[in-house]
Amino acid sequence: METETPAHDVVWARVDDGFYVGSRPGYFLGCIDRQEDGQFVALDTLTRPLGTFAQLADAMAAVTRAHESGGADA
Amino acid sequence: MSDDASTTDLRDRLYSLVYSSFATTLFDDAELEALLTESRTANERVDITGLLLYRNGRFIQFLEGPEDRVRALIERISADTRHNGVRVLVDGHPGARQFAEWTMGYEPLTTTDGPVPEGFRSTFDDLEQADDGDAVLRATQELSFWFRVRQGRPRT
Repeated sequence: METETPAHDVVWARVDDGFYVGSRPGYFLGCIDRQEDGQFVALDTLTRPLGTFAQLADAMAAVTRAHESGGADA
Repeated sequence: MSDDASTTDLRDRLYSLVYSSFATTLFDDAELEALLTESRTANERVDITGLLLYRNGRFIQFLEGPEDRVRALIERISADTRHNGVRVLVDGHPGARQFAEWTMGYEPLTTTDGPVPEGFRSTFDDLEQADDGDAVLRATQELSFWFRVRQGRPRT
């Protein structure tokens, strides 16, 4: 059975310049760390890399997707 | 329960808190380093671990350790003339330490002058939401997350 995980309940917060954390009520999804070259590294809740992306939106999607699929898969 | 039992409880039970305060004068790098050295030496003696953040004259500190020691420390910090407006944001009795390897971890924060991306919350704004305990708790956990990632990042 699939668990419904609507995107609209995801909260994204900026902690520091270039560092973002995603969460849903009660748990974290992962985070994004912008590198010096401007690329965005997506990380899961255990801070394992999920991939590197040119756009913040793509890194956000990777964090959300990895959590829904059960963890780091890249 | 006897007084002895209560005392033992406070000595043995792990307690953690996060507080914020404002520096009465702005700290430069050397003063901050001196504060960290002092803090690490004192914390090691009393089995306290934690994390210090300093940004634009504001301190945010995570403290964890035996409850009586942590409570005594926050009382001293509240009376310390280097701090103003000390406010405990969250506290509790966690099952384990978050910063077990750190007598006082520290990572420099970047000053974020740019706007928060559309649709994003600001962790530091959320820390100010005294009437929203969930937002404050989430913000402190976001900072803990940030520290774990950044302290593992190679220095440039």
